[in-house]
Amino acid sequence: MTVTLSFDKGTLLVRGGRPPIGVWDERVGAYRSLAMHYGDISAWGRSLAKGDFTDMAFDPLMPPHFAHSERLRPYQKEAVEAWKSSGMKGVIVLPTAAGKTHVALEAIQAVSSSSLVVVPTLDLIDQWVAKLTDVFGIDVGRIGGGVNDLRPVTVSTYDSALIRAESLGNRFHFLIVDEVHHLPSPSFRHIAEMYCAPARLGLTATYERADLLHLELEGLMGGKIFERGYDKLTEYLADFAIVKVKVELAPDEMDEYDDQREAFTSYLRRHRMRFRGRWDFDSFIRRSWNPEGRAALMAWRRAREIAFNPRAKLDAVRTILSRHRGERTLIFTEETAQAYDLSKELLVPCITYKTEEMERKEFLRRFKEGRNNVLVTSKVLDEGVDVPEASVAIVLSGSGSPRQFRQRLGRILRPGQGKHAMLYEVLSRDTTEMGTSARRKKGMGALIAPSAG
Amino acid sequence: MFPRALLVARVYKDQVRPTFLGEESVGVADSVKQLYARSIGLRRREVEAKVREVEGQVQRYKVIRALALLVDRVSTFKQREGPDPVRVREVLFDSSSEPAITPEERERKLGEVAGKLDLSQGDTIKQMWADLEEEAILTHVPDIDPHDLITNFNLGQCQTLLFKANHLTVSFEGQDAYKEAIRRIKRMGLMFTALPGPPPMLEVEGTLSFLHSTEKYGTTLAMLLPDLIALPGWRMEAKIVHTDAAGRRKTRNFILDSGVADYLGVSLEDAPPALPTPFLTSLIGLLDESGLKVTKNPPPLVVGGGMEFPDLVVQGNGRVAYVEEIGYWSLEWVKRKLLRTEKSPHPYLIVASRALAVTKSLEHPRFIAGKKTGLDLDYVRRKVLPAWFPATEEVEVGPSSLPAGVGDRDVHVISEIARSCGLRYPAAKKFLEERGYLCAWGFAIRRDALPRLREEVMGALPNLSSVEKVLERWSLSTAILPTLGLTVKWRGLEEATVVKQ
Repeated sequence: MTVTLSFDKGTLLVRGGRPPIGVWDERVGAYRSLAMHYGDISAWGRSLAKGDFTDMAFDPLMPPHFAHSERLRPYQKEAVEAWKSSGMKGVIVLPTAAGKTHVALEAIQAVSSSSLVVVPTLDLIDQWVAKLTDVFGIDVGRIGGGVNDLRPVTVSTYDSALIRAESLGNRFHFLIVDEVHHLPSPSFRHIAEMYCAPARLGLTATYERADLLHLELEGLMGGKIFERGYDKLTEYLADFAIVKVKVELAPDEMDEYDDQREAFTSYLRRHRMRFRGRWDFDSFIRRSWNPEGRAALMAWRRAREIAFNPRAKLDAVRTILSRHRGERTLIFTEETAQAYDLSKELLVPCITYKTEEMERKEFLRRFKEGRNNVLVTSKVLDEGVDVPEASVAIVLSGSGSPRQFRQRLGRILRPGQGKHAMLYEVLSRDTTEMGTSARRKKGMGALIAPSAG
Repeated sequence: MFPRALLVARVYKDQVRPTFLGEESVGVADSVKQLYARSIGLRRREVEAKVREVEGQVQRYKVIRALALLVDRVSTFKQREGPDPVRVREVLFDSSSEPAITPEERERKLGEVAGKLDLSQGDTIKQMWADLEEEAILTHVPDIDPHDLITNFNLGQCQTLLFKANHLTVSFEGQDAYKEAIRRIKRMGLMFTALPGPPPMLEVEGTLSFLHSTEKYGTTLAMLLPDLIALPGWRMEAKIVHTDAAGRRKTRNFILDSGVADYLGVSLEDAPPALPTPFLTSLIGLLDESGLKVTKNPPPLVVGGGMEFPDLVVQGNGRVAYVEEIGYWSLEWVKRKLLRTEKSPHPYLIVASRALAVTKSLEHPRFIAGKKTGLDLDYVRRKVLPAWFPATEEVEVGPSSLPAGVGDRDVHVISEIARSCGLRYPAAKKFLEERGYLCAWGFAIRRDALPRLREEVMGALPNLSSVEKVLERWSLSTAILPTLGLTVKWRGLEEATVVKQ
């Protein structure tokens, strides 16, 4: 009897035989398994006697001819070789600006089949589409931001790749996941599970997650197979320095900050709560359903707002900008409102998650072309967006996440002729922001220049 | 639906349930509506600030915030009048590549741009990001009934809780409700497994949830909820992945039934009474005449994880059978249906009109295809009823009435013996059993020939067609296989193997 393998909404169905992986599904009279096991199940099917196996599951899009003339750096070549010898599966960890995209391009050529690139933001779609089009000279599809253009090489957002997994899960041979540290989250992990793609490549600068979910990448993508840190790649990255700029809160700001902090910390004391990590904070949020909890939450927010956005920070930004007149500068904020306030103050473009696609592209184009030398942004440009022209970054506010900090730093590390990149971290003295700053720079001590006052 | 942060739920042991607002909260809902009505002309961010002031004065601030969100959604906000903000930004950013670093530079740059746009400097700044959502101005608040706000709140809370559902089962009253529920479940791209009751339940899931616990379909389940709870007699039980105040993730039950319909503002849909077609009416008449008990519109039947909807349950002569009349049909569709209903606890007969056939028909003991003019009652009386409801009356038979040579053959068809002897079926069967025959599925096999038959069949396993050839030689059909401890395992419509039971 012939064994048949078919695709059903992100899963595989095996009829006529018992596959090595799968659960009997009485409703359809077949063994069902996750689409990600396609490679193993089809290999098992092919091992059966000739003519006993019919593969109706995989329906890859017809690939174009892939050829490029890009030259890889030695470590990029090593990364690709490591990936090939891992059975074309696995995650490559390289610092931001180290050219992960080039590694992916070489991998696509090696696989030479239909490929889906999954990225976290719309800006990254634009960037990948431009690069793939330029390097391979092919029409590249895009899915996300209201566009649904499916092609043998397609770039999609995580959200769209997940939503379309039930229908597209069997159309690609190669799955590339950029910023793959997002993938193990409870919802995004289904992307890896619901696509057949026997070849898989994950790319990231920050593999580890505080919640340890990166351990899941082993099963989903093949685990970490290659890593190089900043210290090993200095000759390929822009020379850079990180400078702390500490500002004083005005007396009225300090008074209000102290009051709000006291309201918050006394609540914690009363309820014997401690803040040792993200999980403790989540617990605090969940407990804040009653008026007392809400008041504590509001106090925490207000104190944070004051520390993030005192009047002196604007002066500090002005000073930094005046020192770097004519240089391409990115200003990062934690809150969207702060980004817009700064845009109004400095009369410069601003990109947040609220910015329409057309305008987002236009603002990035203006910045790259030097028509506007300063661009304010919130968290949306933290990851991946390639702005090699940027040489100065000002972190006006941010979280304690080392990943976010490294990603922001990465925006200015693309090498350039005589480029010396500077990252300024503007901090409110005598506030919790100082501790936040220490947390996010964990492991980067040697790179930080003496603080400016 | 609300953002997760606005969920107001209570946990009790292994149960979790949203907090429903009732009549006592109508005043609160009305005050939120009034707050919006008084805020016409303000920017959204200013309205939100007013809501924050009010929410600080109540016990459950999330209730106020959620009610405000409901009013916000139906209110009208308009962009501030003036030049297009996109154009204002374009002129502003075109004016210089450098930022306005000093206040003087800002003043100068703003002055230039304001002049070009024919605006004041203040208006230029106001207009710069006037197209942001929070800058939009509240212009109209519709006259919403606070009772509707309350019911929308309650329904929204149920849906919000379902975001984190990894499992949902539902049950209803009446076949039509199940049929409609299945249609609605499939429309949402979900699957179901039917679980035997009573009452029968539909376990709603996605393809992945069959393989492991996942919250992937939570949003779809939440969207499906209003469709399901409009059906009669609904009851739902969901498993919710709930994180408690200590951060522990636990799965808790969320159980709800139509008793709370008023809280959810749901008007139950009245399912139209299912009227039997003339086809079915004539069959019912015949069954009544034949002394068989007929039950119309029985509960749905769970068969192999699926659900079937028989029109009748027929009982008599110690037998039970289900009857379903189908509409438009094709050969393949009927084959699949016959295969699906093979595991039914009692024979499942399918009645169809040839007028509604889109392909050629097929011969099958459980398929009754009526003529275009109607059901062939004579055929049903002569062939169908005796096959599925044989009379149980027994007649003593004297050996003198038997045909010659009966004792010499290994296999007999019982009905042939009965016909040639002028006996009723049960009497012929009894007679053969008394003479060393094993009677099953209409055949009588001499007991001393059984080992030989079994050996030949076992030698032909597992291929069904090889087994069929052996049985053909013995003048038997595959119906006899269970008697030999074997069964047919279908791997689709065309392929099958014979395996040990």
